Amino acid sequence: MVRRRAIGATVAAILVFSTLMLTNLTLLTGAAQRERLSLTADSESLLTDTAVVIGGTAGLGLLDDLQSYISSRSFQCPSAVQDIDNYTATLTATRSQDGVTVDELLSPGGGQTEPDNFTILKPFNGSSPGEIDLALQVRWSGMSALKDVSYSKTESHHLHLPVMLSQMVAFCESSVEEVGSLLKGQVFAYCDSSKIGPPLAVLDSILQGQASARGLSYYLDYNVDNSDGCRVAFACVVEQLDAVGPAGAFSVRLGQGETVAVRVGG
Amino acid sequence: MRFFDLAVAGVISITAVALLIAWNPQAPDVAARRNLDEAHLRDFVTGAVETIGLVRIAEDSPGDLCTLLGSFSNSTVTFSANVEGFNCGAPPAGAAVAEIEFAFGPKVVVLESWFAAGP
Repeated sequence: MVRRRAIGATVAAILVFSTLMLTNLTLLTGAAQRERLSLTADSESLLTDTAVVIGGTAGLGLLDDLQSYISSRSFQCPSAVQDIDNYTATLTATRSQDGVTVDELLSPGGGQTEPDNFTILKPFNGSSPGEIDLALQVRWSGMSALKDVSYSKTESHHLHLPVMLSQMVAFCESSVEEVGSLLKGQVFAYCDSSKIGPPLAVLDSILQGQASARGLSYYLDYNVDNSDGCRVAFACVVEQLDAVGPAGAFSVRLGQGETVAVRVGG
Repeated sequence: MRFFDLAVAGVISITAVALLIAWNPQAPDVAARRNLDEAHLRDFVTGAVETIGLVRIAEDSPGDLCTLLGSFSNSTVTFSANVEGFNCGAPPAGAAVAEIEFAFGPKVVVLESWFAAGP
């Protein structure tokens, strides 16, 4: 009788524990499934967040490169836009992090004013009228560490550098024309700075005021040469001194020179 | 005989308890919750980065960045930054934390977020 009770108790215990274990196993399977799903969600989040961050840092690096190029030289007014466009077209960047690779290609923009949602690069996202307009092609590809999520995306964005390039070129070319007209249109008493300089200084002062009103800086350099007739070599220089780029404040300089034969006598 | 019965019952119960412990669903549930917490926190940090912009993150002083991130923090999420050793605040021990690190030349900025209520 005792033995039968013992067997009964053992069987009952096995049944109770088996039920508990089966319930536990079912819960465990569900929890493991939730963990797998959470890992997938985490992988997706990691890929998309990493893509945003490396897309932004790569874009900022490209703008940095362009800023260095523009601030490190003086451009000729007629070719400045083309020179900067040519350099812009060579700028590419590739970055990889946490399984995501981004390839970026910068090119001159179309000149239209458009807002842009690449806010990670603000204040340089979107186009800005009159400033250097840029187009950015961004291509992301990636795979999660567990190889369960892949990521592929291509976007086009508009960016700008706050350099008033077209206005600078226009001002530079018109000031060269005005200085040239002044020199060609007058007859000077002597081929000498004391005679040629004063009218140039008056015009210089007017042009400086006009440049300042546009947020630019302007100066004129000239040299009188009387070795073979009377010639004046001059250069008009236009600068934007307070441009603020991704690497801080920088200056942009355009210049154009000309040599003019001056009439003397009278 | 009785000793044998007790031994069998003991082995069965020890095995059963060991299996109940080993198959505890709490561990994967905790891991799942942590994974989702980290994913959400990383999304929050990325959202903050998109709103603030990389230029400001690179240029702001540590104090200004802490003040800015403080304005993003709320009763649910806390944002912080570590800029070259200067830390706005540390997460509670054991909390799920999301971090994004930026290197701006020699300057390294780490943005962090964690749930304000802790783990």
